Amino acid sequence: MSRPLLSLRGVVKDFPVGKTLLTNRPRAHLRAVAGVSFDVAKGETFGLVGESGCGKSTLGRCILQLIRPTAGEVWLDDRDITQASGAELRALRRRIQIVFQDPYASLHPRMRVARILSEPLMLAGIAAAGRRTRVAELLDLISLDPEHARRFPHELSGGQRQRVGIARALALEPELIVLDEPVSALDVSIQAGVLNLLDDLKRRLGLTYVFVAHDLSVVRHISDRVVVMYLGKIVEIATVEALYSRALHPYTQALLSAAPLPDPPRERARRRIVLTGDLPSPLNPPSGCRFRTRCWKAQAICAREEPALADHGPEHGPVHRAACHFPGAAMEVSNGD
Amino acid sequence: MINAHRLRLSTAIFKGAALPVTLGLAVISLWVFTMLTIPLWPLDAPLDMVGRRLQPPSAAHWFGTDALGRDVLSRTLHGAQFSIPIAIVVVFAAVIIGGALGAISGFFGGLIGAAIMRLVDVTLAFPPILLAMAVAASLGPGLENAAIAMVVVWWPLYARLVRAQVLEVREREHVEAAVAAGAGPMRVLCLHILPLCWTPVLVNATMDFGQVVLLAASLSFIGLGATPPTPEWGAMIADGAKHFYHWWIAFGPGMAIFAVVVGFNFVGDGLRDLLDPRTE
Amino acid sequence: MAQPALLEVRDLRVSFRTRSGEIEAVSGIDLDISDGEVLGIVGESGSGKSVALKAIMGLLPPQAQVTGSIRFRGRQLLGAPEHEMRALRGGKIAMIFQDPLTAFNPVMTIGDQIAEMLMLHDRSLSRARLRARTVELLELVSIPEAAARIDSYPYQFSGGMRQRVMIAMAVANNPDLLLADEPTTALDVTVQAQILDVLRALQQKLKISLALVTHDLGVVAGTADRVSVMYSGRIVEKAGVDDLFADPRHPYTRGLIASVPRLDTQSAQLTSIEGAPPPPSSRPPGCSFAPRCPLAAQLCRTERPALRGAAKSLAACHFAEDTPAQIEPVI
Repeated sequence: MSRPLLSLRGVVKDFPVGKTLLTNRPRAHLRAVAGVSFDVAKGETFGLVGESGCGKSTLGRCILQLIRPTAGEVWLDDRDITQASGAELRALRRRIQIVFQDPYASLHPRMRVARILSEPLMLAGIAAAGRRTRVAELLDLISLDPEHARRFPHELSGGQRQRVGIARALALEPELIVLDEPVSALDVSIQAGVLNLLDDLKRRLGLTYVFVAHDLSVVRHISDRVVVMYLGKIVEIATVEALYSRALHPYTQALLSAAPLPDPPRERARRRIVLTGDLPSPLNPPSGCRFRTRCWKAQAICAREEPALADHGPEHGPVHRAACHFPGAAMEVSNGD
Repeated sequence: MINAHRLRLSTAIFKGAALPVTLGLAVISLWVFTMLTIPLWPLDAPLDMVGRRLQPPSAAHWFGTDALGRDVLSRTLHGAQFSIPIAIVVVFAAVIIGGALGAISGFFGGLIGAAIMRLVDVTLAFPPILLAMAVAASLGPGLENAAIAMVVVWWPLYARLVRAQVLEVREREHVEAAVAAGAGPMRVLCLHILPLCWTPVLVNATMDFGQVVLLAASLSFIGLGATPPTPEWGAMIADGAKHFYHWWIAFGPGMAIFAVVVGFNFVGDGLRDLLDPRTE
Repeated sequence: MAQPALLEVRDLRVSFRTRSGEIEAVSGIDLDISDGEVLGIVGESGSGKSVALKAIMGLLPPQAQVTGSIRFRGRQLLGAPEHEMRALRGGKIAMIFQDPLTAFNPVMTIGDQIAEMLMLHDRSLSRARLRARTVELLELVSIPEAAARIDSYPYQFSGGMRQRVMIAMAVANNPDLLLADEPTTALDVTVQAQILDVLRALQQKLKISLALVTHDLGVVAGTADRVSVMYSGRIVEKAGVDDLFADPRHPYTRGLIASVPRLDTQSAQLTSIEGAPPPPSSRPPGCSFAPRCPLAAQLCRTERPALRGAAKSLAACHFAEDTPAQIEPVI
């Protein structure tokens, strides 16, 4: 198999929490990402799913080195970019980019669209004429009327702003784009348009996506492979088809069961898994398997031993890893009949 | 953005909704106009003895004459040439020096940032007039030295203000986006953070103009700052205090200070209401 | 009908006086809720759904001008004196808000806040009785160790628990009608499932009617009996929940349902609705959906369509009665 475009090995991120009065040393560390490893192949869309507090957004930023990991490696092709210096990193920005969640906050409110789009080009040292051409190309790519280039962000709709954010990420022709909940803040009818655009761009420009989201339906629609995170760790990783029809980890099953379907008869017929209890504090995660406090399958071993992320996929089929001592279908998610 | 604000201000004035602001603007504009054009006015020269001493207000001398027979009205109006430019210079210098230090402290933090903030704390620990007095006294008399003393007193307020703004704006996503695009720290600070920090600075600065005029007058009142025979308002009030029963000597400059301070306060209030995002 | 309908809203209009003129957030809507039923009000941002809900409770700021009729068991709420409205709020009509954190007073314990809710409507309750009832309510919404947690502060609860406490407060005085404004939007999907469960159970057990405002079609599908779809300040479709999803009559509803990615199938392309809703300050004449509608004809641009159709399914579209086969597919 050819080398993956992106490789994470044991990425850990700690945040200092709570200062004492006299010294500046923090009282504790919050481990937002607790050792994550996966590969992303060139041209695939890799979905990263989880609820709040699972560390997916932090992980997304760690990939770009916007947040520097506390430990672990992030390999882009053959370079470990966690070791890159400031200048090297700025050069790397041409290869990996990010699209943010909030279309309102992610654009400079006092800059016009054209200026926002030329900023990365300016930073890369492209001359004015070249910038003008490229900005026009970008506007065309996102199907935005060239007239909009002279507008300020507050004069655009949410969907249009998000498109500008996408165009900005595309400015320097990156290979990999991390998308941090790019459609969560948009209205449903606008989401579809942006998702279609992302799909289209990926095919046309040969991009690779890491798509971070909490909405399972959106992730299903756009991803090739999916990783499910819980409290800073990966609990399941599989192809999208396998994950959604044969989820192995109880948390994934609960997530799928909880997501509401716009289909009243099916909704009423569903047997829902309702998790008990609350998310444990990441400052003090449960011993052994982190999910055991809310898991209906929990046994003594789950508190003693942290389950490894092992492959439970079919013999000659694609890899399907789950971190559970008792993986398997508690109930299968109802599929399209 | 600015255009939208200007338009709203003028429509607000039109609708009569902002009476204090209109009043304030009018007063300030009149004073600025006075300051700029006064050499052309057909007034008695402010330094010349033009009448009998200590005369109460009359048709010839609307504000009377002072202890040296000078026309008080003329001196009052000429005073604008000193007090207003001083206010402008001091506030600008304080904003720029304080703002720069505050921005550095807020953005870079660390040891330098902490050091700047401790300096701010120390400076603010002194009662402002005492500090101004101390600095002015050590520099010697004169309006320029008084100005320097006032800048020393004033910059910490803006340092704090700008630092707080920078700390907040720094967390916004478009700043992260700029870093993700490869922008270096200076660019991020100057292009992406500072331009969004000016609103509270403007509101404060507008009100501070009036406060500086007051402080300058206070310094002159105690003999630091303007030297005689400069017709600076504070110095004039000092003269007037010596001749208490000849109330008109202090009245002119006193009213002038009052008008300028209130004018700037009204405008500052109006600006704050205008720029307050919550009232949108 | 033995007694008047629980809630009857007729031609409700809400406009706001702003610096840039008058903005009409709600442009004449009719709503009906009977006892024991769940009405889902679906719309995207700017549709006016939250404003409509607040208008019913009388919670809009003074700049809002509300006209029309809001009858609660025959009693006109619009223009009612404030002390009457206060008696109703938290009493017969209760509200649940979107953000469980800011809806609580951070310096009062949960127990005190629930007790306040109870006391405002029944001064005669003794302290012991209040405490007992508070524990009862917390247990009703499945808060573990309720008796111990009564003295905790809001920040000590998770988002999901806070939302449950808010529900407990809302049902404290046995309301007839519960208004829920996007109660699960800010919550994770597993927590959302828990909360909707609690709401459903309570609604059935205590026979409360529920007006549920949301933008999430899945939530509506699982919880509502009837649905009203709002767009740009107006109701564009009303139907039973099964009918709405099986056979939507209004192009906007069709577009909305088609644009939601499905959990159970992987679709190749999502159908999206071009453009964006018009800003409330400049709505087009005629049908406000016309600029984005694939069926739009000249008539749509000039004449505003009224709700029309069979008894239970109404849509505000000039082509509402045409069968789907006659209509070009939504692209």
